[in-house]
Amino acid sequence: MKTNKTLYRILILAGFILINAGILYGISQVIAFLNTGADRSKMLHLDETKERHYVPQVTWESIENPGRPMEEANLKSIEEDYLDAWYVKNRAFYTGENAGVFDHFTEQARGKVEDLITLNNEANVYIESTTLTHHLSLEFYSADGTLVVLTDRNVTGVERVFKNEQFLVERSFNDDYKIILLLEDGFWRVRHFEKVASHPVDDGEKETIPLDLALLEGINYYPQGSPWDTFGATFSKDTLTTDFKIINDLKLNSIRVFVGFEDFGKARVPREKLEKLTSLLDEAQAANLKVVVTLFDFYGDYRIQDWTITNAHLYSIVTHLKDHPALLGWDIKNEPNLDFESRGQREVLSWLSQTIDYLKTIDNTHPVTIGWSSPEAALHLENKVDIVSYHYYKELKDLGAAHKSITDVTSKPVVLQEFGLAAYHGLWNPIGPDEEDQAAYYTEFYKTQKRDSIHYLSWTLYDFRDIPSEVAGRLPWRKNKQAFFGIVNTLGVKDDAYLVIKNR
Amino acid sequence: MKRHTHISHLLLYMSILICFGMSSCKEEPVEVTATPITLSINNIEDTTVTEKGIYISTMGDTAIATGQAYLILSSTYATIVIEPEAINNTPQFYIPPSFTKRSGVVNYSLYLNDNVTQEGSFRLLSNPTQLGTVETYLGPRSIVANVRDYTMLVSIPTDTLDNTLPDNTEVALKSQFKSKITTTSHEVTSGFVWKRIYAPLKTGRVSTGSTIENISSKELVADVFPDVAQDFTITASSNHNYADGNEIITFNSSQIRDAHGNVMTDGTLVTFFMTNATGAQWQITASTINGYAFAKALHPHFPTTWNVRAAATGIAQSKTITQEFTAIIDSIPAPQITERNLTVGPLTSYLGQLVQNGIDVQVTVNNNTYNGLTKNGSAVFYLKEEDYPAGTYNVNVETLGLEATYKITITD
Repeated sequence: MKTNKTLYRILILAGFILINAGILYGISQVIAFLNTGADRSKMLHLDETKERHYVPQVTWESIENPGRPMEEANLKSIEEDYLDAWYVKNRAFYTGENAGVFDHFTEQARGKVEDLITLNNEANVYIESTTLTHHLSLEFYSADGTLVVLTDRNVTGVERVFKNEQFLVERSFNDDYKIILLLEDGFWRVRHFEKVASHPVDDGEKETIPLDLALLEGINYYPQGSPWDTFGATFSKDTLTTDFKIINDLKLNSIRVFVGFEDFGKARVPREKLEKLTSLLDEAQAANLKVVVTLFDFYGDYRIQDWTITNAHLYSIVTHLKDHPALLGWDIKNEPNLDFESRGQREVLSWLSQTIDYLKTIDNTHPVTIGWSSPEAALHLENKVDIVSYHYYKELKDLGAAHKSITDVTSKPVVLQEFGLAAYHGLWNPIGPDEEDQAAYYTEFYKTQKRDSIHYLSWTLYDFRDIPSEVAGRLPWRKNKQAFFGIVNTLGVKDDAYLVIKNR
Repeated sequence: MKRHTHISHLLLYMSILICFGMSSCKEEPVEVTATPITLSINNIEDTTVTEKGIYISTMGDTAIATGQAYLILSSTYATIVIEPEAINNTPQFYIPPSFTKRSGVVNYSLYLNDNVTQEGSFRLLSNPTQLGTVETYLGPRSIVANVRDYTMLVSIPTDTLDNTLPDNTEVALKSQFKSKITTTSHEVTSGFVWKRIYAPLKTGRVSTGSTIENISSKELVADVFPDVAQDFTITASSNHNYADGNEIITFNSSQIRDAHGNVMTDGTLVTFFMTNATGAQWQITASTINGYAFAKALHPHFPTTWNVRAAATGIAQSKTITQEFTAIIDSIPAPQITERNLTVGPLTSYLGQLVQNGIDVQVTVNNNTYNGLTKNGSAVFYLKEEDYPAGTYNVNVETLGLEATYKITITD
């Protein structure tokens, strides 16, 4: 009874203390919340960096004008505001709302835009569009710096027209515009905007660029310690030197590497990443290897609104690398057909097609390919690519037929860009193939390869320890399988398949 | 407890049902599976902008199901899609006014049976016979009366539907200054005309405007301000030059003008820098009225010489002038002591009148210095008994720039 009493006392006291602590905590949280928010130092929004969602390629052809010399800072703000006007206009006709139109069009011009938004909303029409390149010249800049007249020639872009939620047509354009902008409230606003000419869009067939190797024999490459992250924090020249020696030992002549879209900073590619890429190519050059650079790895947004970003990304990488002697060619994207279902075949194909077109305007000496995930998909955009590439992970006995089904149709070189067998038998797959099976697979492969003279890149050099979940999802039986495609295992021991390749 | 689970399950089921219900409400795109039709339009000719819309007649089939034919038009601001309407049993495309009011190149394509069958472009031309407004922009709005400066008049004439006019349209740009009116004629290029208006050499106001046929712009004005000031002179004036610490001396500038004789704008700041004989410096700032600046200063209360120089906003300055101030007394009268009150004075001024209140007087008795001010011509100091027992003391008196030593005797 007495112990009970003491226990109750302790409980009541402890309860009391707890309740008080709770109340005090609550009050302090309320006070803390009321004190958050406006911070004087943030009043001018100086700390906000503007992330640009629209970065078409802009070339200033001339800023000579009779009115007043142009200052660099003003030129930049004119360019930004003018492009923002395009952006809000494109966006307005896509969403049917007028957000941002107020900031970038003067009262009169705003009326014109809004009339048409209303018209399209009533007709249930929306337009998905973007411009890709602009060639500006400054015609006039007034003495007080508040009025500019611009001509924007060869504005290229693309638009998709939808009516009643139904896709009608996609068209590219190449137009000239005349623009009068006024400086109002610190914004360069559009006062007059007029399409003055429309040029035919250049979609003529380009000459096919040949493959610079008689027989492409290569391997897909990731460093063993950083799979799917070749250019990450662990990037090291020494690793590359060692690995490329192994590839030399295999008597292969090329490798395929992957450049991640986000890893390489999307629209603004960091210098250090480009330098890492160059030093990989330098090492490859030293080892006498050719490199296929696969771009846009892990990229999955194919919307028109994103095209200027991918083009800016492409531009940085291609201009940086295009004169490198070790560069064999460009692979636009790895297995884009896997996104057909989630992103829409039309969207994916039209992104690929415009990306190839843009790449060819920057680099017209290296062949371009797309790494389709299956032979069935390989002929998509056959007229656009210089090399047809596909991946093959099915029964080897059907490889010859699958390859022939492509070579029959196209005169362009056909590359088996990925194939291989995971020597994976473990908890999740107890009866899976082992190293011997893998060796047998390669032996079998070389029979077909020699017979049909197939250009090939095998998957892959190394077994890996950690597979990022972006690659094959989180399911262990899928993820683990990815770790065992290599011909050199995680302990650095060469599998039987290694010798098969070496002594082919 | 069990009941609760039931209720929450029920809620879950209901929300799932609602979700399904909503998603099934969504309209599925309707597949158009009508029999293919034939339809074509004549090439659309260039035409002037209109607020009535444009009808495009068609040739071919007359019965068209919804979604079988569209005319897609793309101009400066937007792309629009129009469906044919049956007018007198022939399908026609009506391009609405909000589209046909805007000049520019229009690309069109005829979309038929899921394909583009016809493409072309035409031009909507602005209408120079229906003039709307002439917008003018003038800037800078303030210029300086010299040979280098100018303001710029830009004029953008438009038709009634706010489209810029075609090249080579004549626009008259006008400016007026005092009695002179200048009119020049310009041809529109890229939708605008412009002109530099050079600054006149006189201050005033330039009015500008532009006209095209009978349409006129608003009046815009630019103010012409004087150029930088030229050097000027200053003079001092005062009732007398005695250092009495009472009279006010005024320094005047000459009328400050620019190189073309324009008087400086009222409120131009002129700073007067003063230095006295002991090297002390101070300054007075005055603003000009009609080009003149006036600075006032109190006479010193000891004889000295001032050097005075003036400068107008760091651009123009005057020569230095000298102003002397003479003493108002020749000697300091002997101080009197009555009941330990040491009285210096009465001090008299240049007419024999008492000096004004507030003149500094300094006395030194036995190495102790006291400062006092005059009142009714005299300054009084109280010498305490504990400090100064009865006896004779030397008293040094300094005032009005003079110094004298006297002996005084304190008796109890």
